[in-house]
Amino acid sequence: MRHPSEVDCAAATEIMREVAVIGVGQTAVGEHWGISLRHLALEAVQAAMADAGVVRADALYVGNMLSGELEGQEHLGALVADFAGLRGIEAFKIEAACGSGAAAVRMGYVAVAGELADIVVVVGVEKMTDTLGPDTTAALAMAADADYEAAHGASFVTLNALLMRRYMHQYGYAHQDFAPFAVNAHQNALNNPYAMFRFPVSCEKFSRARMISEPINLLDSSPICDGAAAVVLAPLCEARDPSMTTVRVAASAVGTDTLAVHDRKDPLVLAGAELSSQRAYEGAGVRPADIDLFELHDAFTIMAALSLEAAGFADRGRGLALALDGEIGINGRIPVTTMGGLKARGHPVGATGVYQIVEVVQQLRGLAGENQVPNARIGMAQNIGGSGATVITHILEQS
Amino acid sequence: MSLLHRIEHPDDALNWHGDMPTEGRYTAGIAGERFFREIKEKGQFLATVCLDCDITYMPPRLYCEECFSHLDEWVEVGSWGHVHTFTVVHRDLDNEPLSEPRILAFVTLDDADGGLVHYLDEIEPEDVYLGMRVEAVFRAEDERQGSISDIEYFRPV
Ligand SMILES: [Zn+2]
Repeated sequence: MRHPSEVDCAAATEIMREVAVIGVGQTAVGEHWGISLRHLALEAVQAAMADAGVVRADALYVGNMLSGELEGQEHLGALVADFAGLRGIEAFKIEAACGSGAAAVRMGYVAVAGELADIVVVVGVEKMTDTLGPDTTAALAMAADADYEAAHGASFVTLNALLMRRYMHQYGYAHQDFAPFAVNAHQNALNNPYAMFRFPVSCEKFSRARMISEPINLLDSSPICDGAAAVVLAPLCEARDPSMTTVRVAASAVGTDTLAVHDRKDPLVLAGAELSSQRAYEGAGVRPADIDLFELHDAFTIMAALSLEAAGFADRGRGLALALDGEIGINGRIPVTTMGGLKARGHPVGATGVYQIVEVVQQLRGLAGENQVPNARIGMAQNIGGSGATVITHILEQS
Repeated sequence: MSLLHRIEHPDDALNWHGDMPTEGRYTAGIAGERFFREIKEKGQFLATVCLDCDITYMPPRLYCEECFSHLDEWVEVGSWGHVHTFTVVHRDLDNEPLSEPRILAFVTLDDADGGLVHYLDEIEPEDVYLGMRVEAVFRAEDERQGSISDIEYFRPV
């Protein structure tokens, strides 16, 4: 038997097809008490397929984390295919906690690149507001280590608060130094009709927000909400719509880390995000300096800082400095959360990763309106599951 | 319905009212079970050691993540360490204010490469600092269930 490393990888790459995103669709993020999970997914799927100009697909992958726990509904692949008029095609759900959306995009990429399917629809959908707050928060905590972290009440807020306090201590920052992430996200959400929080936030308001788990306050945190977003993937060679900029998937990569925060050698290093980013850069043949915008996973402001560092945009302890220097805005060195991010567009967990891809595509097509990043040619999206245990990175490029 | 009761209609045989007792047992895996049983029975921490890599795994693992060798070297490790970082929780899961804020800390243990996230008590939030020495307080023996909650909290030494 040959060891995997002896296999001729060069030969393997040659048979991989280039993949394009040929359609995107999304629903508004918010509290959709009047719309069912299947209907949310259907709206996004129909919008993406209409945008792509396709009426059929070979496969449907559904990114979702909590439908079983919160809606009493699993088996979303067949369900969404059935109600979206795609009955009969290959379909299933993909779960990787808050990284479920990008994980589903990753599977769609694999299918098209590997010539297993020509047209793949990927939808991320989550309904989190049909249950009471404690149930939703407890369900989210299932992404942590059940035996060692969640059993006695640690939640994602508290785990991120632990990281944030350590970061402030180790690198000498104050809480208000994190304000630019929230201010920027809310500013960008103002111009995104699909965003949940379309109001500005000032540094003063940030500092005065209600304390949840010190040092994390309400404005450090992304909201619990509902939403669905979808993309249509196809081989690049068949994706030349002359009326629209073609967007190619230059890289799709995954990295993992310990599930529990206490097992990490240095909890302030997102090793999974480092791996995922490096693999994506190698796959796309680019460096951080080539990236024109970065849709990062700002579930909490501390995650935004740590993501910037893990992806190579700042040295350790300097991710926050990048924000303080005004480099994360639309005209900054590395614009982040250009349509509001998890903080202000909203974080319907299993849908988030697909929203990020949709937004990068909007930017690369030059259709981001007021929030258009000038000359955006290469964009990156990074979706994180748990406290950094699963990290999926996509690099998209104008073709 | 006894065994001698004559069944005169099919419905008689299909109706049974009552509760059927069932039991289930959750386990945290081989290494996890041993770790939690030690806490329950002796009120102390067990770790596994990879002598080649000089790593003490706490909570214990069955395989070394560096060299992938099977770990069968079990050692007791002290239940004390220091606060690597902490948070003061003000809100419950429903976002309602807690009657009294609770402190959660990431405690790195002195004798192991690893730590635990757990409550900190017997101290006021404003007195906690990073690097503070703490020790685990275990629940009374008859209250222990064999889970992470058998540690009641950590407290300053
Ligand atoms: Zn070893």
